Amino acid sequence: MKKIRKKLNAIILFSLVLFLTYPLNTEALVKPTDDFYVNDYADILSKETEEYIMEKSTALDKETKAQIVVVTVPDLEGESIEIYATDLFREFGIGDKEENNGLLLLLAKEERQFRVEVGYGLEGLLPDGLTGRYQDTYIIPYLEKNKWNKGIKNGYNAFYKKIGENYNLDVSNIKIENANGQKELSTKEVMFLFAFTILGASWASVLMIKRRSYRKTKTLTPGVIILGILNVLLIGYCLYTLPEMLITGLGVEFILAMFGQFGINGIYFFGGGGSSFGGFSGGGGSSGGGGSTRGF
Amino acid sequence: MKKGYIVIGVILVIILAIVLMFISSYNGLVTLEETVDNKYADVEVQLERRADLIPNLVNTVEGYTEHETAAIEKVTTARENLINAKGIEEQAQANEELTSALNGLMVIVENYPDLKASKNFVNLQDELAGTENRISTARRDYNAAVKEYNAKIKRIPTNIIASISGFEEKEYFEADEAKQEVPEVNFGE
Repeated sequence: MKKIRKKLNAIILFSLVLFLTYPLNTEALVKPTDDFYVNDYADILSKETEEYIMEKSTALDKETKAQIVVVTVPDLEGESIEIYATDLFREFGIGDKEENNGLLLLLAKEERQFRVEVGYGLEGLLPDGLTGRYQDTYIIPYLEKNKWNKGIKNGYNAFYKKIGENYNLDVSNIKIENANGQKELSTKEVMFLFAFTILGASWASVLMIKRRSYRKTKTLTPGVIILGILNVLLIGYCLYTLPEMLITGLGVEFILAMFGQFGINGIYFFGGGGSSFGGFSGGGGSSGGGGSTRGF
Repeated sequence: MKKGYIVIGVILVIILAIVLMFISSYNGLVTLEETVDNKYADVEVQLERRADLIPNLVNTVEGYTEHETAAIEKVTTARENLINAKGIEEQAQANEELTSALNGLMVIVENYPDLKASKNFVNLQDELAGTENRISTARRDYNAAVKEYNAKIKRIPTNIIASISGFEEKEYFEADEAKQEVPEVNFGE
């Protein structure tokens, strides 16, 4: 009896050890969502950005079998972003199985790291140096300011354009902004400037009209000239910022919201390439660890 | 009479089954060995690529720095060793040594902000980091293939077939830790 019990204990202990050590070897990767092309596990992307990526990636896949996938994760669970990205790339099977023309844009929020992982088939088009430069120019400056949507969308566009050109797609309507070249104004800043310039212009006009010397003598004194120039400049600047404000999204969003009110959003969403079909998936592409990593 | 035929028939079927099993596991081993060799070739391609990038890097660093010959020479020597390394163990060793030599160089680069910010250097560093990552991916893939292959040739019944047809255990791509040099970081002159 004793012997049997001893053996039983040993077996229980052994299986307990096995049970405890086994999960340590498995890596906790995120699973592809139904949208496949965009997987916002860190919950930082807006609906608009997600829909934009879905639309573009679906069309690209349809035309060329190339797949661009965006993944954001809250953290990497202790893994290095390089290994995490390669494993995720293979698990998702990004790109066509034969052509391996997949691209992964991975953001780890807690580690504040971004990685571009390139499939075997795109390594010639997107060498590591180029992916690093694209990150420095189009993505990282925005991520540094926590402008997730702006950074990811701009970077996505840059890579989309490069890949699309390679497959002779028309990419002339894709807009990319060089984050280092010119100072970017946020919507808030633009609104502030706009209000400020209107106020300034009206103030200058009022002052000018009120100037008695001008009213009385009808001649131009230096003071009147200076105020006049200031006025013209301010009104000019005000007119200059108006289209910029519209372009930077505030106007577009407003117009879209208005269309939405009138039921035109049906057209807008159908243009999205049928995200309602569901069941997007990887083509079985693989990566050998090419690409580049940046912290932000 | 009839019973004899049945017995012979059964024996024939058993022999046939054994032969088929032998063939299929032999073929399985051949496929596995080929995978291991392919993965090893992948590692070698990336090692070569890494060695090819070094002269460019050295030239760029030399253009911006003075009196840093010791660190640069170390990198150059390590590169030569990697090119001349034969066999898995030697290559793994030489690759590790190149890594530590490059780390030494990167510490020095920290003192030259112009170099660090230059487009050419950033580009080279990305290429080099990408290649290093490709090496580690290729190495992981190779080691996984070796693990599968080695397990197979040790397991019953494939071990019998393996020993008859001369399949040998494969080596992992790992640097011998004991032989590894401690990276020498030289501050100041």
